[in-house]
Amino acid sequence: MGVIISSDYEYRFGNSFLLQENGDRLLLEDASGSLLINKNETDDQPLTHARIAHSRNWLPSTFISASSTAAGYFAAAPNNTLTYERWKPTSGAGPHTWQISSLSAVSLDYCCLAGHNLGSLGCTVTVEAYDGSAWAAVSAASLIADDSPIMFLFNETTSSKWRIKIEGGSPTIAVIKFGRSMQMPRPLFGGLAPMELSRNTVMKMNISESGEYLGYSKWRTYLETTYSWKNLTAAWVYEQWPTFQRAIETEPFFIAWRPDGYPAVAFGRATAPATPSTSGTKDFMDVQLTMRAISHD
Amino acid sequence: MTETTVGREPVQIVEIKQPFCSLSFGVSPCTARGTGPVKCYNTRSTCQDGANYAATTLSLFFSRGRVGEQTVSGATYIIPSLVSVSTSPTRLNVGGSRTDASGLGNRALCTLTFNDHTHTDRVVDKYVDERGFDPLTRGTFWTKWKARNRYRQNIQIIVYDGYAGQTLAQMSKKVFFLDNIQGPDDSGQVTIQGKDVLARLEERKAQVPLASPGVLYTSITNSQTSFVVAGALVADYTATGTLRIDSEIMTYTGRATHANGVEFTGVTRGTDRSTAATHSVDASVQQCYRVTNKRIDDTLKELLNVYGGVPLTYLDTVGWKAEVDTYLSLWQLNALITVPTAVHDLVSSIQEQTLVNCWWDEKNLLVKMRSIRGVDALPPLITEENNIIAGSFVMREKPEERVSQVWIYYDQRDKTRGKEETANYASLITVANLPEELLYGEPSVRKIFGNFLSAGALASTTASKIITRYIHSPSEIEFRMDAKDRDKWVGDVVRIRHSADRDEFGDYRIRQWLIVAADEVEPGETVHYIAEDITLYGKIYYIMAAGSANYPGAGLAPEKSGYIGNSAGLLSDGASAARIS
Repeated sequence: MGVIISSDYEYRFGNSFLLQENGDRLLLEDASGSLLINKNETDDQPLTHARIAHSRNWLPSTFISASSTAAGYFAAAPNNTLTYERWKPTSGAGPHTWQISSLSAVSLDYCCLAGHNLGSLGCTVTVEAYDGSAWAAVSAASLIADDSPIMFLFNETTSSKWRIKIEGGSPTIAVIKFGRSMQMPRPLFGGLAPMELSRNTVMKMNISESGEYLGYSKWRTYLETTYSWKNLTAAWVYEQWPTFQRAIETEPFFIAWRPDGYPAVAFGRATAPATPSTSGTKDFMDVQLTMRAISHD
Repeated sequence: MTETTVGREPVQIVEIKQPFCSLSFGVSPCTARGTGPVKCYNTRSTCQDGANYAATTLSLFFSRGRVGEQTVSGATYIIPSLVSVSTSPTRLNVGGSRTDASGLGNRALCTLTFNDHTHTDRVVDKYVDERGFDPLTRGTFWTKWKARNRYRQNIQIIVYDGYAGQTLAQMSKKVFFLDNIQGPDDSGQVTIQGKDVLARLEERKAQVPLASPGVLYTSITNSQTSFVVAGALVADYTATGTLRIDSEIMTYTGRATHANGVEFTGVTRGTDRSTAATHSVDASVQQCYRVTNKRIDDTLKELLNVYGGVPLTYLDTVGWKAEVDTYLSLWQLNALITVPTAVHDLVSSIQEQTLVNCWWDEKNLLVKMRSIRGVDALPPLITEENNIIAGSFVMREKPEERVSQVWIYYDQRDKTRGKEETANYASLITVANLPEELLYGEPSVRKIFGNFLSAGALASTTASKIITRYIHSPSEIEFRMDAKDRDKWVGDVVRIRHSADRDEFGDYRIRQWLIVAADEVEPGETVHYIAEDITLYGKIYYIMAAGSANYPGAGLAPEKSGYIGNSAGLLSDGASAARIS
């Protein structure tokens, strides 16, 4: 299904980043020589830049509730990243809700889901925040097309209660995360094998002594690719990357590598240390992120 | 999706049926008291009210986490920590011909390897939300599981092999019983080994008769017909039966509690060719195990179930009875076992002496039995074109199993002495094929000690069968087949046509082969087989009902029907008539 972008999603500093995207890095610096990216670290990047949801930017709350839970499933299961522990509302078309709360209001801009069968069941999902008196949609109702990971991106909204509302079936969901995304300051350029196409499927055929085809087998396993960012400012890397590195040492993460145009989302884990290195150009660094993702089909 | 689907996707699920109490902590009838972290884990070793422990099982499912294994109907909670499943199949020892294995053949084994991991304790802990700590921060799944499940011997392990989209119930399954668990090791992996149900017959686990605890309370003369045994309870001896004291065997008709132990009455001294003698105080009084004119299936059932602890649900007693009724009805077993002996050895002895095979059919979850005999229906044809995977066919001869003479010792004299003492048998029957032996240039003798045989006719039948089968070096083949043929399994007879097996004219030699081992080496994809040639056992014909039609021609005659030929032994179309051998 991939990225679902709220229809009113806005870049608060959109012009600056359009310039950035045009490749004129000088525009990133202000008159004092400090990096604009520092000043704008809370700003939205264009949707050509990857969004990453990880364990240090998603809501760590343990206040979980659900409208109902079927026997053998667990309401709190989506709050961890174990894809074999799932929540499933009791049967029926819904609406079913799964809610997470925090002690105080927080500003968030994403909701990610993985390990679900929303697409297979043809469910519609709405992301909502509580505005103090009622639930308000932050991402309009979306018909889910398949069972791949989903990242809802919406305008940063402040609330202490968040939920998803499901209609059209009683799905199982393993992971639901609300948070504020890490936005890569540079897009990915050529050479990337898109995760959704990087299937690691083992195929085998048995052939008889006389050459007849006896049987074909396959094992679908996982997706794996490497994201490579170049010329990230060293300041940005030192500011943002260590937190991400620590997050992925223990937990899987979500990534939408290019929400604008390539809406695929992956949920998986890093398979090698994502260690930055200097690029050779003053104050810029490169980083590679190799990721093995859960495959849904 | 099935084994014949093009693009099939094999899935493998492991189920461990952990013993689990069905009660809730502190809820009647459970009398345990406490809250939060002190509560049990519904396992016997963490139970705080053992008297009310209500045994049931909790199924834990594991997979490798491949896409097709993420959602399987019938298992809502599948932990993707499985690394590998390795199985070593059961292997028949046809007629006890293999000297490197017991009569029961090799035991089926499975080795399961798991990655250890932190765990939320969901499913395994009913009270996880009440304990006040985060289980993900305390220990790992397997370290906790081992601590909570101390009594884990013989826990049932089920390995399911199926295809994506199938329910658990639709998958084929193999059942094993937990033997040991090791780890986690340095790499964080845990290994579980399971064995088939016949492993319960191992020497350290099952003996018959059990060692009797009683000793003579006083010395006895060689004519006393009652005496007292100390250090025992009446439950240690059967109500009537046979005893051994030193080298004397005696029967008794009653036993009762006595102030000093157990009193035996109605004792007949010096039975079973033994001599009545005096015995000293403290002489051991051993209960004996006697088999008297008992059918093979009844004897095996008693040994496996009563003494071996194999549940009746795993014994194909209906199939055994049918096999014995049809092919082994004349066999009546007699034996007296005077010292504790491994059940395994006794079952092996029966198999060797009666030429039956017993094996654990892990797919049908039954201990099967089949006599060594011909087939009563045309077996399916396996060919190199349609079935055998390229490069997998190997044929070999086993000259070490050739037999030119069979010597069967039977009618054991002194039942208190070892089974394999030739001088201790009253009778010996030998069957030989000396012309063939001469051509081979050397004899090859198989000795059998028939401690279950009391009649020469039975010994002779056994000897003749062995000579018929093994006068020439037997052949064995190995081959692999695609999973589409996975219905062929241990105990099945197949015909095989392969370029490597030709007669003297260069024509295909299509022989009958008994599958003695089968293993899904690549689950859901490839099965490895070992088979032994049983062609010489021929074919079994049934006596047709009076008024049956004449021979209808080749291909039209019922497979089971034999027809009388002309003076040249031929039928109306020139085919060979049935011959009595």
